[in-house]
Amino acid sequence: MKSYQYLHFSGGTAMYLAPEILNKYKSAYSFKSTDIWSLGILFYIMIYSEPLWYCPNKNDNNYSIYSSFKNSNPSESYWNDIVICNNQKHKIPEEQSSKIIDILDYCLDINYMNRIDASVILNILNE
Amino acid sequence: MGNMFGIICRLCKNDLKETDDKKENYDYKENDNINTKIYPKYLSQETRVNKYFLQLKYNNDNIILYKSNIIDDKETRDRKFNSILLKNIKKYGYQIQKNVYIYENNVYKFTINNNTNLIKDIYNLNIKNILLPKLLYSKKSHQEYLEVFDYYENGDLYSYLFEQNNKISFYDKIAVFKKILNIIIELHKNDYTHRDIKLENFVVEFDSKGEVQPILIDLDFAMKSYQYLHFSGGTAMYLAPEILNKYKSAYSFRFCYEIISIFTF
Repeated sequence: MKSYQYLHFSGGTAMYLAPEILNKYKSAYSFKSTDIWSLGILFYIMIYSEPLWYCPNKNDNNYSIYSSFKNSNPSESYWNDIVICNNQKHKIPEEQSSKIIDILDYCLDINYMNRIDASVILNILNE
Repeated sequence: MGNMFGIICRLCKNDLKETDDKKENYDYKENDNINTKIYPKYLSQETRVNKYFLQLKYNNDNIILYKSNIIDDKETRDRKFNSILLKNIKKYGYQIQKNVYIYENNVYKFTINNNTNLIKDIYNLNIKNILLPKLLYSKKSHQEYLEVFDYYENGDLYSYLFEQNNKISFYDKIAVFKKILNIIIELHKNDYTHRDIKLENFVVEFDSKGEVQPILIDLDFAMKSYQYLHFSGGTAMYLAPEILNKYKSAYSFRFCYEIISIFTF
């Protein structure tokens, strides 16, 4: 795990923050969906032992790649590449990759309206 | 000259001591808002509490207070070592919180740590595996309050996964994540949101089977999910929909009437 520092905002920790919180002067957001976003980030860090990005804004390289990719392509293909590459590195069984892709895709949707409930994530894992 | 230098040093030291004592001289009073029945008797009887007074008193009564619940600095490590020598000790962690009021653009913004009522509500819900303060003492001026928690020696989930050299399989990680999900589902069912979910905000406890049971901590940012959203332009509840729109469509003075109509209603 790389060493990193946490930035504290009024809404939580930068690494786990949903992008709409940083844009809060432009848009509204629902609190439940920000929890789901940070659950997605937590899930990724738990499994792959490294952070996805440090802060969900344009200055962060990894996040800007993700957000620009999402505008032109389906987000599933983005997660597909990342998960397959990481699963090989961490020796995670291939059967699990579709579940991981689904969870990351549903939790880390930039549009907060499209994020799923926590109970749906549990259902995906129990399938 | 040597003597003079020594005297000056001593004077300076005395000054420092005095200022330090003044800084730490907190005067806490028990918070009336919280139901006192749930607290252990020996703690709820206290009315005026000083930070060091608490430590000194309860050290003698087989109770140790740690500075924070999970941070393992040198002070807590020494205390842990000392506590091994003593038996039947009850351990608590404490935290000092500050109430923050922000006044900006003619709008009062929410107080970040003024969540004592929220803690009381969550107590009544009896949600499992959430760590809530056993005790709340507030300062007379209500600028600060002191929270006392149960102490968890195993540290947080982040240190359990990445710092303690534990070998945890993929399926074990998934099992822990499912338990995390169950806590969040319970919170969301009751219309509460945590707003600061991360690995560091889960404390590790072990079941009777020896399995990891994460416990949610740090409800500083927790809120009712229908609570007002605050923007630079005002309180969301009173705002016209045009302002909330991400891609601001041209809005006119009409939204002023909308706000007025909410008031008159």
